[in-house]
Amino acid sequence: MSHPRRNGKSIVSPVRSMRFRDFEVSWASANPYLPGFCFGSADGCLLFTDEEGTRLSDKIRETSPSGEAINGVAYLPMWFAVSTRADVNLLNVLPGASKAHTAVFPAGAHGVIATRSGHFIVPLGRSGLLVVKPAANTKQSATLMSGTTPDSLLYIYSVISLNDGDREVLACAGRAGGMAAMDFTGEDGEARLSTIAFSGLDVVDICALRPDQASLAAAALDKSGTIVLSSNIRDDKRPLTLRFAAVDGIGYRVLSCRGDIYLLTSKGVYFFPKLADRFLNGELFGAVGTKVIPIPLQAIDMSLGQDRWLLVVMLDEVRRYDVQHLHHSASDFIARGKAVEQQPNTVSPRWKTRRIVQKSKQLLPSG
Amino acid sequence: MTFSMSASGFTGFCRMLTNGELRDLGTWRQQIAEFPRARARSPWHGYPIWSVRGFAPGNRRGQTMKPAKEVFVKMLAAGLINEQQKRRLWNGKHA
Repeated sequence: MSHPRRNGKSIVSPVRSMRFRDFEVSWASANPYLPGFCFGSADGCLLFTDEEGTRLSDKIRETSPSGEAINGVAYLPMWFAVSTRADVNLLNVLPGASKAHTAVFPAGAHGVIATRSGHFIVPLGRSGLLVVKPAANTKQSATLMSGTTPDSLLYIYSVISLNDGDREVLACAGRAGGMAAMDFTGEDGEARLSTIAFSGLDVVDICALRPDQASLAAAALDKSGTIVLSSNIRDDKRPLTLRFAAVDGIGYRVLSCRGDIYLLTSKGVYFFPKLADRFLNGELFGAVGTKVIPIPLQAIDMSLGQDRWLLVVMLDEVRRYDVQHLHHSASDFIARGKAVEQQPNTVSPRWKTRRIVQKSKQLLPSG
Repeated sequence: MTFSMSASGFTGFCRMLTNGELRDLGTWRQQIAEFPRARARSPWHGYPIWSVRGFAPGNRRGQTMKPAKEVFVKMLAAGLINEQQKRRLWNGKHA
């Protein structure tokens, strides 16, 4: 872990701490335009850096009129969406655009993603999903997709976009409502959301297990740290539910890349080498143990940057891990006694499924 | 413990479990409750809210239901939450 390695002309350290003066980081992701990163701040600003954390420009102040902490940034060609707990902001980066700030939707969000069909999707909690398809040279509008009766409401806490080659599928972490999935064909009309849950489940995050492929495989994280693995989030009625005694703290995030899985809890990062690969290859059953590598730290968020970096937002710095290096270093961790081998406790809950209708209505930005 | 918020006109309230974790208060797993100012001699009551701005249920629909950032700063100063929990709540996330 401690030895820098050469990558082309530069020396890349597998772990790097990045700190910024006058910029309290609340969100981190890849820079969509250049190798490097995009950071959001606790007072609603954006900052772009190279891969070593060197600033590429001054911080951008006019991203959210609320000045609230940025909790998500997503990109489409020429468009940014920035979310906070107070609003969703659409920024136009078209060459020659008269102003960058195009629209503000006054709905508090838990994050924002972009889909390959060209939509921004925003989880709004109990209010449902906000869908925005930005368009140049016109007043922006958005569509709110939500249940219409009390028993059809779902708390949508995070969302990812998957595809199986033919269909685009949105998969959601729905807190006590469990995991949810629906075919996504755009912002118009009705959508049918399939949910799967069991008593006591509290799904706080969800991620793709094959983010670079046509696959509906996904992992979800329960607030207690329990992991739910599904080879097909749309159709699976009995996903695999695993609990590892080594995982401590409140579950915050789950991510997967290169066949590995990373959990973030209030107590640290937990690295599971090859867990996604082993699950999808049917190798998780029987007496074979699973390696868990705990990295104790206190963080508030975690994200992946271009399948290359794991960005951990801590209280006073962002720690950048090289996931390729981590992937190939699992045996080193084990040799140095840094890994715990555990037989996961496989939970066999009584899964309950629901199908709920989501209806659409148009929203206009404020102002 | 309560906090007067003159700007927004409400008080925030938070409870903790003995191990330092925030308790889920409502059916939607909220972790904060809002206690609006009550009229004199009226019963004082509160209800769970999320830290994100959104649509309120039932007869509170239309209210923003989002505590100001300063509420969490005061909770931190009072030792009710730690810095990690404050930053998570600022982000509109569970803590």
